[in-house]
Amino acid sequence: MPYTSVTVVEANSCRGAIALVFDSDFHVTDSKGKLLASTAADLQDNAAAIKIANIGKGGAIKAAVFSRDGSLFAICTLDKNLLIYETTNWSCLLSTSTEKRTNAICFDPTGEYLVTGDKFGDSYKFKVGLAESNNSDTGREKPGLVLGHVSILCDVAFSYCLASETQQQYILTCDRDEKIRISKYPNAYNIQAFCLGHTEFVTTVAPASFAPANAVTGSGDGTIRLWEISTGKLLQTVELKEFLAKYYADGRAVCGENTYEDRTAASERYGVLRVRVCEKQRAFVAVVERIPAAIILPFESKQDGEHGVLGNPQLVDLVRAPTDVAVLDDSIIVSLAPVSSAPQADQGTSNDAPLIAALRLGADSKFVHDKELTNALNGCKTKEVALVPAIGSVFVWGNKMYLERPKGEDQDQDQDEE
Amino acid sequence: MADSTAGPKLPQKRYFRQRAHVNIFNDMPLEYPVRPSEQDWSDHFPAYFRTQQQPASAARPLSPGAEPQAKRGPAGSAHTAQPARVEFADIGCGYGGLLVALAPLYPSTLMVGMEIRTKLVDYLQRRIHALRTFQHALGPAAERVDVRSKLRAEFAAPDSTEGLHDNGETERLVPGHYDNIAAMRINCQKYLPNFFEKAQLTKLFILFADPHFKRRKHKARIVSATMLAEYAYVLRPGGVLYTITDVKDLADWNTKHLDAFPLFERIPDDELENDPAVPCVINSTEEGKKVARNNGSKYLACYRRIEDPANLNK
Repeated sequence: MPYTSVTVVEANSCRGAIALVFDSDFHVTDSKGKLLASTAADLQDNAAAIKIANIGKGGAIKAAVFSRDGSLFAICTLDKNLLIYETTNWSCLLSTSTEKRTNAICFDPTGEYLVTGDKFGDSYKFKVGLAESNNSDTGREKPGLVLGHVSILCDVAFSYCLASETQQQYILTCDRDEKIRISKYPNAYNIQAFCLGHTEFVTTVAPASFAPANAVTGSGDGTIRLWEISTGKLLQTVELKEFLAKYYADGRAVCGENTYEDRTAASERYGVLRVRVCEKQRAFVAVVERIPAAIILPFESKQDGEHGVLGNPQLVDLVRAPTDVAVLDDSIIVSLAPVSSAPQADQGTSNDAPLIAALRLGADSKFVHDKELTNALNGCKTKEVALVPAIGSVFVWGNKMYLERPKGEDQDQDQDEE
Repeated sequence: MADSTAGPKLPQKRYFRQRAHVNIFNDMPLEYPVRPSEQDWSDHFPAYFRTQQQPASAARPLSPGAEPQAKRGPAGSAHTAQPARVEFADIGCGYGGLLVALAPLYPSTLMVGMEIRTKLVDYLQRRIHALRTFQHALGPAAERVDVRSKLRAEFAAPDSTEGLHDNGETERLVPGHYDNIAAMRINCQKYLPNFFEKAQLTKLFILFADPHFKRRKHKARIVSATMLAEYAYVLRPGGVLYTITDVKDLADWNTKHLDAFPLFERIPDDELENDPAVPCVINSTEEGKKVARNNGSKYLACYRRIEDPANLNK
């Protein structure tokens, strides 16, 4: 039987840990891919791994994140649970539920709060602390509203730069309506700027410590963009089609079919799933829906106070399309989409198809496949299932489909009807 | 403006009725610019913004009191020192009573009414077009309106405002000739920053908003803790946010959120007496007249955008 796919990868260089999320479970490995802890430790032969208490409610995990120093780890699930663990013995520090479904989570720079972005457009902060006792929530700080968009929030992140007037960080939130909002944090009532330029939903925002004045975003509009945080000014637009069209041309990327789930991706589109930061290499790495490649964009700093630019991308081909990407020191870890029904060469048979591809920095400062880490990470087996569920296209929820959405189909349950 | 000889007509409201509630969370085929600099205002303010094809003299205001600050092409193509820009915004402008009343009071200030209901936008655009056509047809020798004394008279007897002048002046010249007002269909709760730069606006009006009584609809209210951040973003420090409603619950909700919001400060009532916009806020909207006819209460609350108190401590 095939194994269920990894949908989210997250890594932290300080802690030297990689988290692989599959359905409602996750594994945590060290930097060599050796299993340290898991909610499904019983799936493994490795008895040394810590069994992490599972939430037991069965909702698939939507997002996972380490704190900056790696001492904390959090997940949010589709059934609206939010869990925070400490990463030494993996005890649970907070288990709570949210009113609306959380799409994105991020620890604030101090690690004092976990900040969410939800499907209703609101961002809340949850105080990290000792687990609640079952029948009392006295003494626990209530989750505080940080900010809100009137749109679905897709990602949330914190800047490495400080606002000059308040010495506060910025919180960056991006939404389904093409916007990235930059607010002061914790004083998020004060909006510093909006980054406007994307023409579709913005899926991911990545601030980097080596370019503290900037943020890089990815969108369903087929671009990756570089911004100035303090003004919201668009500095650079990278058109992905220019160097990714070849994947559609030679059949390695396959358009969706003309079904409801697929029709919004039925043309050659480039939906950025994630942009992450390679701190040591001063680069960004992106993965794009249906494109079997890791896209590494070097950041070239400029002298004399001029803005840096994203340089020519390096593409590393993957055996299958990606679902997510994470970075650990010199390694890039990509989770791979399920084997598609469309016949494709080299994607492996469904039973032994790899779930993860790992890259490392090669001799000429180019990324190459890391067979050792790839094998080790694929050795951490996920759950066996009869049929691996297909992963829906980001365009299905991201598109403004007033014209093509058929009546009665996919009525969003969280949205108020009128 | 060529049809002025054909006899312009003001549109009639009864053909433009639409139910009051719109779900702001739904996707709607709205037009909005990617960013404010790409908004082409020339359709809305032809006297102030040149289109690419149009020569500069297409529709020049008649009186010196209404000279535009500057002219420029669309999409920031010109580098004029002080390009014309919208400074007042009426969120949920409805049939546009406020704009028509304010237009001659601030004849060289561009103001835009924003409304999500299609039919009302259609009505107001026709209304403004008709008013401009009347004004431009009058010629410089026509009688001029003393706007302030007219307003004082109206404020003294608000019940008598159902007259002809209620729809805007068609027989006497008014400063600005209604060239400075426009209506557009936008979802302000989603796309305000697409139209206005940070600190662009000096006045923002939220008059007789949809009360959204149900608790689960409260996020849809025009005033909310999260939306206030966006209003503060488009308002410049010193700018004023006007709110008025006839629903006590909503008034309490508005003041509760505005009082708690660090970037807004309530303006005391005695200061409002000198603000010429306030009588218009209270009396000139269709909703405001309806409330007055029914002898309902109106709850006015005005707030000044202040600098972030967190900055001053440093």
